[in-house]
Amino acid sequence: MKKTLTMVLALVLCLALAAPALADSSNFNADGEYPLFKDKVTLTIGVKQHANVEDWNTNWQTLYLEELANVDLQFEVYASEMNTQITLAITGGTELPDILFTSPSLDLLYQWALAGAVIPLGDYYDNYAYYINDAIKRTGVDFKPLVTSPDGEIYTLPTFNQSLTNEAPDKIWIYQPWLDALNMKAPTNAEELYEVLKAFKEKDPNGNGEADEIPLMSATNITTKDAWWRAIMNMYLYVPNIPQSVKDGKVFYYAATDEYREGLKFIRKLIDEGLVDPMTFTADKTQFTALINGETNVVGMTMDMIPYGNANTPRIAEFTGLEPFTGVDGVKRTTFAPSLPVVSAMITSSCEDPEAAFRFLDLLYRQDMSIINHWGEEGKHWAWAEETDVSPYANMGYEASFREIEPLWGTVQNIMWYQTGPYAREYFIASGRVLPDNPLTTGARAATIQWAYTPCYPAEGEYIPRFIYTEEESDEISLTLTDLSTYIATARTNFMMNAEGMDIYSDECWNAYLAQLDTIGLQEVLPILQEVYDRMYGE
Amino acid sequence: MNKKLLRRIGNHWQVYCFLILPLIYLILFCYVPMTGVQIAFRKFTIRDGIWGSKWVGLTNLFKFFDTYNSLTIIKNTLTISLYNIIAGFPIPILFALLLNCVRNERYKKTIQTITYMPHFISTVVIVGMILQIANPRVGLYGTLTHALTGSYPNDPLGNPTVFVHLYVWSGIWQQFGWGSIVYLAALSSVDPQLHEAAIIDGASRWQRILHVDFPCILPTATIMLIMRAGNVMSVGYEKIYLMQNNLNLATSEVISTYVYKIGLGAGSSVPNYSLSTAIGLFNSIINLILICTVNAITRKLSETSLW
Repeated sequence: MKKTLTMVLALVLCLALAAPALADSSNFNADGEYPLFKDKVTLTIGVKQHANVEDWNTNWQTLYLEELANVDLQFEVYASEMNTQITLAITGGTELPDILFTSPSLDLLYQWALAGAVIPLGDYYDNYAYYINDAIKRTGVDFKPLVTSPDGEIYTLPTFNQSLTNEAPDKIWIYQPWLDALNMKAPTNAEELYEVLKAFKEKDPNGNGEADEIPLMSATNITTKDAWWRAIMNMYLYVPNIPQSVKDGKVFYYAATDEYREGLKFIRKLIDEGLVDPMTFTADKTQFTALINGETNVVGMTMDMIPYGNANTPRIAEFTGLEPFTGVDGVKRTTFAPSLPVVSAMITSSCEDPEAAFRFLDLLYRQDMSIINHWGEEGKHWAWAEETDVSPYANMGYEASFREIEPLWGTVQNIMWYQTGPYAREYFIASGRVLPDNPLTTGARAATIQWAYTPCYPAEGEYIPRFIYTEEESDEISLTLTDLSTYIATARTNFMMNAEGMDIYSDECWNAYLAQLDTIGLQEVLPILQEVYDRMYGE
Repeated sequence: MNKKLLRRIGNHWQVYCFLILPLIYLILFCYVPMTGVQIAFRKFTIRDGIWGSKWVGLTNLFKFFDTYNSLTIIKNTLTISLYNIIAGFPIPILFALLLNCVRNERYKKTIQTITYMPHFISTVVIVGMILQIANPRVGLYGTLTHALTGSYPNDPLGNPTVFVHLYVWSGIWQQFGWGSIVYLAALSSVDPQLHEAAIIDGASRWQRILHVDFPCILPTATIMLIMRAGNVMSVGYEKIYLMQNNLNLATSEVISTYVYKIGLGAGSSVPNYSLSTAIGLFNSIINLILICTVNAITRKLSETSLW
């Protein structure tokens, strides 16, 4: 009896020892079957510390995945500045975890790849991307080219989150009670905007007998701090969410055009007459929301992706969403922030079984994983929608996807990964989320006006989703690009405020500004940007 | 000479053993990392590492001077730094002298504690307080002006001229209590006999400060000033970065914030370690030159100096 037991134990031990040697495809069950691995696989994952996740190793999502895949996940938690730490580890030759969950820029990722720290995944994508291929079908977008490095290889498993709300960052919000008090209609173009703002300032719409109204205001750190001027500037020309525009296949800076100057003149007029408060450039979200949520509201109009930041206060329901303004040429435009794949997970060269690592990461692209990593456990925190449920975006043709039972977002919890790691969430998931009956949430408010924004996006080929530079290109222009962006932003503020001697009406000032752009290197970077654009999006 | 030294070490080897640990510490953590400074003269890439990257000479430094606003940035750095020294240096000394005259021990201790407390508030909170107080609508400044004049004032944070004062004086407010501690310590070591002698000679309180207390803390003050001079080119970036906005950038962009933006921050997609190191090295060299100059001057003028 004892002998048999020893024999069995010895056999088991031998098998266990032999297992890594046999770790070929035989350790994997067929696609779509669980668990993923026949024998338990151990994977170490490097992850950034998250204030809302208590303990990565005992997290419910971790345990759920461990069981589903027959894997042992061990987290190495990086305190902060994870990308810098990884870079230093690579330079110093320190061993990295098997998998990294972090989002470096594509340029930095490529540097890591050139240093041999992260491995190319092309072959794995070709052979083992079961759930990823399904995700590509679900989203209708092959997101791989947009995370492909200039050498034609892919080094990452990206996050791809399609979000209707996020794609229109410049929604316009107006304080409805003031419009009603003045018996005015919502503004639809530049003249009407001016009239309404003027009336807000002069006719005491809040009725407290004091001229304390701020017709239009924004703040420095709300969700989209550029929304307020872009919503106005879009009446003159299309303003993308990056500094570069494209027209008829030609790349240019919109900040160096005459239309841009016309837009600045209009904004300057608004500021000169006190219709846009200069605090917009200095106040932060706290002070901004304090103004709106005060006993009497003093702010008439603001622009942001969702109504003023993220404050769920009763006053939020009194701000009505407006359609984009009609441009001076009769066209309605709005800034489009296309949903793009973001670098999210890498497999390092320290990983002994990259295939297992890839197959495990592939599992994270399963449809419900994109709900689990934000909303928690199915059946407990959320449930798939029933037939009677209605999507808040029903007017745009979206069906209900799921409903929240117990919200976790914004709390410190140990259920889900708080959207860490790769996943693919198609429009249907987030847009079909049945919202609670409470109409005061920012999500519900944003849903009321989305329909007006989606049709105003630029057509394919009239915006640039993203530039991916080679090492040489990045080396040559990155400093100039940073300088250009900083200078353009500073000059824009000065032109609007007529500060630092920058008078937008004076041709001399405007020409000096254009000359300064050239001094910084605008003419040198344009041909390079054009080359990158042609390489990525040319016919 | 050498033989003598060796014999001395041999006689007291136990004492010298104590030196070993700190020496190793200094070599490991201060001198070995210094070899990394070479990337200021290389084109650092992650692939080639510190020792393998290509030598490029002074290209990185020239890159900085080539940027369109490098002169403004250096000017802003110097303005803020010198203003900080001129306005901020005498205040802790004056405060220490004043506090030293207070006879009531409890009163003195309370004041001391209250004034050095702000030192422990973190930069982020301080800036949050500044923004809050200076807000022209919801802040203390705005509310007070409105109550007194009936209209709201202009925004001080959007004004490049006001920015410098706001930055410097909020720093002084935060640090003068803490900075006075070293002078108070120096004052407490003043021999009471000197004071007694002065009193017998009929010196007034003012004369005692001028002729007894002040000469006693002068050496400390000189050393502190020399050390301050070694920091002229470095204006800490956290506070200034948090207080920056597009309107005050004309005076608020300093070397450290610019380096952060182009070298490590959101502005650059790949951290440019070489450029940041080159600018850092440039700063350190200027600082070293300044500290040597000031040290030489003070050695000439008085007997106190660092070396």
